[in-house]
Amino acid sequence: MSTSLPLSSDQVVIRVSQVTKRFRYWIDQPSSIKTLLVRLLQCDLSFGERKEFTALDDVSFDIRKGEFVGIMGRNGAGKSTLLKLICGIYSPTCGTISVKEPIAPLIELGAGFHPDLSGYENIFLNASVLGFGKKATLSALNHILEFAELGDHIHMPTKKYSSGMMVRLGFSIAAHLNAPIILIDEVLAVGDAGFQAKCIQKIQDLHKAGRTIILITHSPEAVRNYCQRCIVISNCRKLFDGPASAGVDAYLESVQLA
Amino acid sequence: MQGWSFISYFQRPLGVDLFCFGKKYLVFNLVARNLKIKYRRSILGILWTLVGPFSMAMVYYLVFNHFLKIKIPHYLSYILSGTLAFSFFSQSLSEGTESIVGNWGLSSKVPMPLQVFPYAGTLTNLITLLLSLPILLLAAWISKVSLGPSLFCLPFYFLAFFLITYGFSFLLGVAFVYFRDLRHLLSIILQVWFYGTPVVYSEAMIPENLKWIIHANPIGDIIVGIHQILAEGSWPSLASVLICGFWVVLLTFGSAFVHKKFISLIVEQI
Repeated sequence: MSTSLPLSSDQVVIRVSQVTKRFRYWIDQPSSIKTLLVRLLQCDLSFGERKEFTALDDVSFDIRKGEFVGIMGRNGAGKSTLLKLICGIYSPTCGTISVKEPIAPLIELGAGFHPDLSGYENIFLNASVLGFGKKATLSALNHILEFAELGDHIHMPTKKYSSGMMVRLGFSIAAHLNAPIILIDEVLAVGDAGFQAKCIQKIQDLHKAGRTIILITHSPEAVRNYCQRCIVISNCRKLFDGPASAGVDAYLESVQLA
Repeated sequence: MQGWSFISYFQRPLGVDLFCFGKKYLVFNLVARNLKIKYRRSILGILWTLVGPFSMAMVYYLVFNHFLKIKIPHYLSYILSGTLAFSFFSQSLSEGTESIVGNWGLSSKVPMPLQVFPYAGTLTNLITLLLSLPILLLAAWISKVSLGPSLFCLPFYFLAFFLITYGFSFLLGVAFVYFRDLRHLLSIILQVWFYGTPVVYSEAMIPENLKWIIHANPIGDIIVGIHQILAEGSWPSLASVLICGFWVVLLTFGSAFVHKKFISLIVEQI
């Protein structure tokens, strides 16, 4: 708890306190009106057997303004659940999450892209899906177009885009929309090496400009080289929270143990 | 001031942003998306969606007016306004049913209010209905309806119709998350609903002891009112306006209640 880190500011922008997330699901739940009616006729009013599983268990941490935090963890450890909680897609079962500033989540590139609309039209749709207004979109438009380097393809329907082109456009939109907090989930692996380097450069520039960045990744190099701090999630719990290089070691150890 | 606070309470029923006032630009872009996808690459453009109900109306006109000799004055205007209004309703309901599940790819990746999908869908269909208004006025002129000052009621009727339709679209969208066979059932329900609503026949033809069917039908009094305004040029009765209001309030607050109870469960359920 008392690890001293080189922080740019003391202002807490995300506070996750004692958050537990349990998912409930039903086994043998009637999934159609037909089965519901059949059961009613059989006087069986049960809605199936209820089960629960815990995706996150008592996780707490603060993220301060201007930090560059890496979140690591094995597949299924609860990283994505954590992200969705921070974004507000899910709400926690116990505990609280407070987020002080708007977030641009990059959970999946091109979330909200419609395949039949052109890349250009999708910029506006995507920006509004991410929660930005018309003014913010228009003022970022030129930077988005320039950075994505799609040339005339921008007027082609996005269903004809390669995954690399989707990444270019999606990243470019999220990166240029002046969001104070940027959340990136393992999406940059798709682009070519040149564009990846450009994205990483851009992320570092944004960090230098005072943005808060949260990067979810499996890559030890990325965390070692760019992050100040690393949070490792293992078996639904917070395993480690501290300096990046020590965090990577903890992560590698937890992977080997498994 | 009392009146204004009542309106602002209605804007956010039970504290739920049911009408997406906080996400206006998103609503705008979703409606633009819906319109663009529907009408891209077709010569008739947006009018294309009117072709379906328009040709159905012509068939009804032929069958009920010429074969069955129904005695309703200004039948062309009558059948056209009823059919176009009902097709707005049925189109919105069948699209609304799948809208929440169908946009799961979006709502599971980015935080967004799930009601925005049925809302934008119903708005899109409302725009098409409004675009058909010139055709309805033309039909009224051809069948020599003397349109009167009751025409000023029309915007209120459309608003009430929109609110009721949106309520149903939202509720069906939520129900579809749990019951995936709703889609097939809905087409049967809509068929029955069509004949339970005075679209091709008139209120006066219903036997006295069955008149309650119209008022128990959430869109019954709306369709009767639209007929009175566009095909008779007369004023709707106060009782029918109050019944419309009752259904608007019931569906709006019912939707808000369901939203409060279920919306956070749904994201995980889909």
